[in-house]
Amino acid sequence: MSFRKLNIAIMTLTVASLLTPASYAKSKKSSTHGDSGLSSLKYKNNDETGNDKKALAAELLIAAQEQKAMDQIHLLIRKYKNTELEADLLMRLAELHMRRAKTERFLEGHRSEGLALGFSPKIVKNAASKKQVMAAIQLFDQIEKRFPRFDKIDTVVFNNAFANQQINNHKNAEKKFLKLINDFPNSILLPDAHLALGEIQFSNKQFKKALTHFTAIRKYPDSLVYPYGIYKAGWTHYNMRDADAGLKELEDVIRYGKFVKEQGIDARLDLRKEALIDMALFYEDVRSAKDAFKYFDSQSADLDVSPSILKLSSLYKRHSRHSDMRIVLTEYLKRMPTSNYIPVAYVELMEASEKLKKRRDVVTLLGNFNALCEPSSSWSKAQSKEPEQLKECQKLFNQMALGYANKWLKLWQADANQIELADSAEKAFSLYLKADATSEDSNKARFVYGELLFKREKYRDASEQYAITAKQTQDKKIGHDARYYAIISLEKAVKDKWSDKDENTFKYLANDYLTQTKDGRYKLDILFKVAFIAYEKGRYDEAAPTFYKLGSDYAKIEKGIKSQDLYLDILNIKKDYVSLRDYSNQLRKSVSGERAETLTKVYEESYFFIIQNLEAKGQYAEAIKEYQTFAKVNPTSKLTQKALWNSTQLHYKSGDLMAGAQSAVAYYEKYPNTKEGLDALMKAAQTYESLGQLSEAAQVLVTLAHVDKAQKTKWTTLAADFYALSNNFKKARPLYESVKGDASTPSGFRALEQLEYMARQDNKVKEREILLKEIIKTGRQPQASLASVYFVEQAYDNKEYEEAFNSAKKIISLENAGASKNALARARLTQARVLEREFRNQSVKSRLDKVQMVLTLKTEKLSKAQVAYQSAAKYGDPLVAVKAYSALADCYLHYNEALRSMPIPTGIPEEEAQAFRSEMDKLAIPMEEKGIETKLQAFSVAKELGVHDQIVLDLQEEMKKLNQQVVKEVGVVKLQPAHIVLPNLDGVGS
Amino acid sequence: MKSSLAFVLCALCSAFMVGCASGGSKTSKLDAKSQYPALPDSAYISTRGESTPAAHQCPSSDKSWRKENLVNLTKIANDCVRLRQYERVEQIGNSIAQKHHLTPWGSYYLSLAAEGKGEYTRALWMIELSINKSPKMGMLYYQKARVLWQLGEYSRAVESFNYAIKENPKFLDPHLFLAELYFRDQSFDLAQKHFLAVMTINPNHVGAVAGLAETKLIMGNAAAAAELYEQAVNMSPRTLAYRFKLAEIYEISQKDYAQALSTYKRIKTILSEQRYPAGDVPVNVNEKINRLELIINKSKSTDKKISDSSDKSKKKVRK
Repeated sequence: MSFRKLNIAIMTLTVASLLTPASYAKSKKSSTHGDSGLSSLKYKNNDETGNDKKALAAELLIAAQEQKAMDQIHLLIRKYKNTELEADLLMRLAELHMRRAKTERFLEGHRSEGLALGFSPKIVKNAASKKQVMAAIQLFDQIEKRFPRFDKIDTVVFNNAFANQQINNHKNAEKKFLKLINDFPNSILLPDAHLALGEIQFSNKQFKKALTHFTAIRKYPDSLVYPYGIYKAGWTHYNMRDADAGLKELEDVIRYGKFVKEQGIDARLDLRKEALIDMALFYEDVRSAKDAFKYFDSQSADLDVSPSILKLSSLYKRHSRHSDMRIVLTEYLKRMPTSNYIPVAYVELMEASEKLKKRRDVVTLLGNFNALCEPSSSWSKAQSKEPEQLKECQKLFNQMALGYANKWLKLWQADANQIELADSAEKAFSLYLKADATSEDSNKARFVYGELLFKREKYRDASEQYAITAKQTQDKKIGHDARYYAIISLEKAVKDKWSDKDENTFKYLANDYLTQTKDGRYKLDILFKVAFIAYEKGRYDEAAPTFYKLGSDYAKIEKGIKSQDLYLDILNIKKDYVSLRDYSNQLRKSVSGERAETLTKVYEESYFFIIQNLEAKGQYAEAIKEYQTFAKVNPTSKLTQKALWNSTQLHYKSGDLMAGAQSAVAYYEKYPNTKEGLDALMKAAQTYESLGQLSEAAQVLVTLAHVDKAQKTKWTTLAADFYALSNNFKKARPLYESVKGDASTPSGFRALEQLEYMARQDNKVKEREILLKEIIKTGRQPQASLASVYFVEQAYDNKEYEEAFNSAKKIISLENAGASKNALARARLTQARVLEREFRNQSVKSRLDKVQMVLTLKTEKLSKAQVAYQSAAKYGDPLVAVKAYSALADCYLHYNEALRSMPIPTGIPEEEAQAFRSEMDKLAIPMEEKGIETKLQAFSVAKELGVHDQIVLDLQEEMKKLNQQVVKEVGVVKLQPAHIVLPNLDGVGS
Repeated sequence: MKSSLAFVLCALCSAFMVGCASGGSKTSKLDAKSQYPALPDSAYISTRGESTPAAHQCPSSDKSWRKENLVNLTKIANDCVRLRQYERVEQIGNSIAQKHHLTPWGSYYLSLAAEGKGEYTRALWMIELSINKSPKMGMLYYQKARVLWQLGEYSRAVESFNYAIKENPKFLDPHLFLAELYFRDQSFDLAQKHFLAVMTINPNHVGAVAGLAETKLIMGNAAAAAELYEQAVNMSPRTLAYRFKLAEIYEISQKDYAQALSTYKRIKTILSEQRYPAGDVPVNVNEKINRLELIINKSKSTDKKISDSSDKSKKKVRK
């Protein structure tokens, strides 16, 4: 193979290596390349999946090319074995191995330990890669050993050191780097070796040694690693606790960076950005916060100072230097109002303030932050070329505002005394929701905001926030809860004083809940409340249907029961007692226990009230019927007794006294041991009596006598009287017998009298006489004397004249003891009759010498009878008086007749007989006149004392026989019986 | 034993304060406490001289009448009383007492029914109950008086008749009864007073006119008696008793033979037109006419004046 061919092969390998993103210590040749058919592998923005596929395709292509290159080199090595070209081919092969190890290339800076930018390669850990690196080292070692005079031997040593560094073989690496420094003082790779050794010492914290190597690099200002060396020197100073020296090194890095930029040198040598960032670290140690912005602003020059400031801020933050943080950020905000870092600065500043618990400042900052993100703000306008910044700003603000709001809320919930927390949370929520009014996150936040307001008893605001949440959210659960809490909050705000406006709002919210949340958990509560408000505002017609439905649909739960109660209450308020009765009756059938008792009470009372209303309207018949139905349907009700009582009273009130009395008796039979029962019975008795229903009255009185023990005798007697009055002696008699027991008492004596009366009516002579004797035995006047006179007259009728006379005498002796005038008169009349009989029996037949004596005897007996009759007449009993005078007149007339018809006494000569008869006539005439006169007196007394008896007619007849004109013939005028008169139909009423 | 009855009644009175109104101070006391509305005195129908209604007027059923109103019930009850159907009267009375308890009529009919059955004590109790309900109604006292009369309580009966008149001065029946009673008992002043009262109430009451005529005659006022009998004859031309009394007064008391003759001739005419049992004609009218004509002829020539007077009287009678 010719050298030319070799170059072609090498060229091919170079092309392959150019495909790699970077190269390390290699030949500085460069080549341009065209599309090479790989344009299809170019990455496109926003095509992550496509880009991944392209990356994979490119990798496979490279791997295939590398393998081809290696195969070619191996062929060439065999061909040019032991020639000068072999060293070069081996180096190329080693480089391909390194390439295949996919390790980093030199000068790829990365932050080690999170602070300084490091330039040491990363340790290869992957076994396949490590194998490739080791293969490369083997090749490098082979070159060093076999081709020590190879013109690129310094590169081989450097790469060998670098490869050893990659597999963590630092000793070999350090040895190789030192070999390069010591053995190849003119190598262009000296500053790189210093940098590598400095890094190794730096990583081993051998800062002095490291500083020596980094400082050595200053000798090579044209070296690519020149700024890296200064940069690392700065860091080494810093680690040697000389931040000021470090700052100066970094200031040099910045100056060099400016130079690089000005000169248009490789931009990779411009490390200003890294330096400015790291300066913040050094600055924090040794400089004051108040000068920071000025310092960094001057260092940054044309670069954005923001990263440095924010880095410094983050350092202050890390070290809890929140005040310094606030100083530097506040200055930054002031000086860089349109920086795209402003949102971050706000975030940091707020955090610092929050750390210092300056929450009002945080709230203020939130407000400013919010204003900043507004599209109209100057900051927003400044970001016009980067609209994403606005979105980010808004997003960041939202995060912060919501974050603070939630945080403060949480803190406040832990300690409710921290009012400032609650206030701040409220403002944070408010700002957040102003900024993000409609997102789902904001809906959740608004819900929480609502909760906060609710807890802070700002119920009306809470209700509004809940309502907005409900309207906007797509989250069913939040939507449901928000709707419900909006209602609850409004309720709380109103405090049961519902204006029309509030009520309309409530209705709107309720309707929203009911229509948007089908089968919502609080459907019952809300329906109930809507109705309840109407109820409380007196719109019962509006509330009633809802309560009724809820009472039916939720009969077993509290609200349902409460609905039932309110429906009942409405019915009561509306005085719809019929519905009240029916509804309570319906309800009570499906419940038990106390509820059932309560409903039963309502049912019974409403039912009762219905009836009372009928009563009040004068619908007595209906009321009576209902009272009785009530009693029948509710036999155990406490009102049943009253119902029956009222029913009874209504009968009376309506004028149906008979039914009233019957009802009263029924009432007593049901409630025999109550005062009302007794009253009812008494009223029934009175009623029957007033209706003339004597048997019924008596029957009730008998019962009353059993009940009212205190007045038993009174009622029994009265019952007996009514039976007697009805001619029902059979029932009257035992009743009188029962109270007759002690005849010395007024009632007992009266019963005795009544029994005697009935015996007389029934013509029970023996029984009557026994009773009369009992009356006599009591000695009670005037009844005893009247009873006695019966026996006197009986004795006379039985011709027991002496007995009659003497018995009469006993009665007469009782005149001053209260004996009856009638009895006295009749007793004396009986005595007179006995005496009259003796007078009449006195014969006037006699001998002549006895005539005077016989007439004297007759006259004496007349005199006795006369005295007796006259005294009988003087007792003042008209009939007895008339009878006495009439009888006395008969005595005179009898004497007259006796004298006129007196036989001629034996011994009177016939010629003197006429004279004797004449004398007797003379004696008889005055006697006859006396007789007629006395008869007239009898008639006169009859008229005078008003005796309208048969005796008057008899007297008239007798006087007619005596040819007395005192009685005229009066055929035209006769005493007719008083005829019945009947009520005229027109006058009886209706 | 009348006192026993009175005791029963008084005892019942004290029981419940119903019934037992007997007038006077008791009435006013009960008025004060009465639970019944004071009804005005009712118009009444006397059964004196009434014809008995047809039997069907008093229902045989004890149910058909029960739903009738008070007026109809009263009509039925009245007919039953006239027909002496006292069981039915009692039923109707009970019905009225129960349904129309504020009126006195239920117990009134019960009183009549009890009276009809001879149960005077109950009859009295019932009418007392009626009086308690309507203490100003004269006819109730009248019924009470009737019951008392039948109980032999004559004095109290008269007292009650007088209460009936007091409450209703135009109540004819008690006046008439008392007039006849006092006439019988020779208390002619009182009889005259009550006959006059009857005539005031009913000027066409021929019985009262005749009664008053008879009373006047007994009291020696033959002229007034003749005039009243003339009135009675005019009111009842077919009643021969009045004509005989009138003729007798003309002949005996006034010696107005012409008038007496004229009256007897008129009697003869009536007798010839109607058939009267021989016993119903107390005088031989032909003999009377002959005797009076004889007397008149004898005195015609001597006393023309008497003849003129006689003609005048004839004309008057014929009129």
